[in-house]
Amino acid sequence: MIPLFAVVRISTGKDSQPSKTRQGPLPQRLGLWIPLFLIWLLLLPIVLVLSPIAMLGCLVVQINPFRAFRVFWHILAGLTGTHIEVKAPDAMVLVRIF
Amino acid sequence: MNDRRKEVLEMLAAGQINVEEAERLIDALEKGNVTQASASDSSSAAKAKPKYLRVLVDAAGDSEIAQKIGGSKGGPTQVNIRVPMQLLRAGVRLASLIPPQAQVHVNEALREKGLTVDLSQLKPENLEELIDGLSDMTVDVVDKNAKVTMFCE
Repeated sequence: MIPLFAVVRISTGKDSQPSKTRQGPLPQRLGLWIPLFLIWLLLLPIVLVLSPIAMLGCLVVQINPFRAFRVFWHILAGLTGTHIEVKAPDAMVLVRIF
Repeated sequence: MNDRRKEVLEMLAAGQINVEEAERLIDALEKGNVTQASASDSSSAAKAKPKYLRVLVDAAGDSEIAQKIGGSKGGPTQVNIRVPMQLLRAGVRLASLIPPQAQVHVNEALREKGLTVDLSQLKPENLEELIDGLSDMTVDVVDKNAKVTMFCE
């Protein structure tokens, strides 16, 4: 199953991590819920239009285009469940794909 | 001969049960053993199939790892990464798509970096073996300034 949603959270500033004693400038926070299924829907016509060119490219470099498509599909599907979280004193980044 | 089987035979010898009953009891014991064995096999198989690779890094602010990650001095930097095994498998399959002439260049570049990996020998079956081996293993790298933990879950 390909990923349907992604969550991106970015916090910057001195106090990006929760703290009771806040000092300095206010932290800047950005939280995004990205509906990936909409992006896939938007990309689908583009992929269909570009697929003959991609197939031709695969044949030029002697790669089975169907195998290449399967591998890219597996990579896309494999992204589901990815979780990346980095916490530093002045910044926090979280990326979740599901 | 296990203890229960011995008990059944002793009961038969003592005349407490007849031959048919003893046979039924022994059959039941054998079936129970097979069920137990299959249950333990299935549980170990389920255990041997981890879904994610976890990488945890806990580095002090002035450590080299924290600087590479982009952390600043003055506080610890923590990294928590969960990579699905499916993605690793797909990555290995992607390596098999690299044309042979390009694989030579990639192998050379890896060798220059100190990694003696032959991409042509990298196959999904090898990764499965590696994952099976990693299922019960935890890699801990502890430095005075940083700790890196890798495990499968």
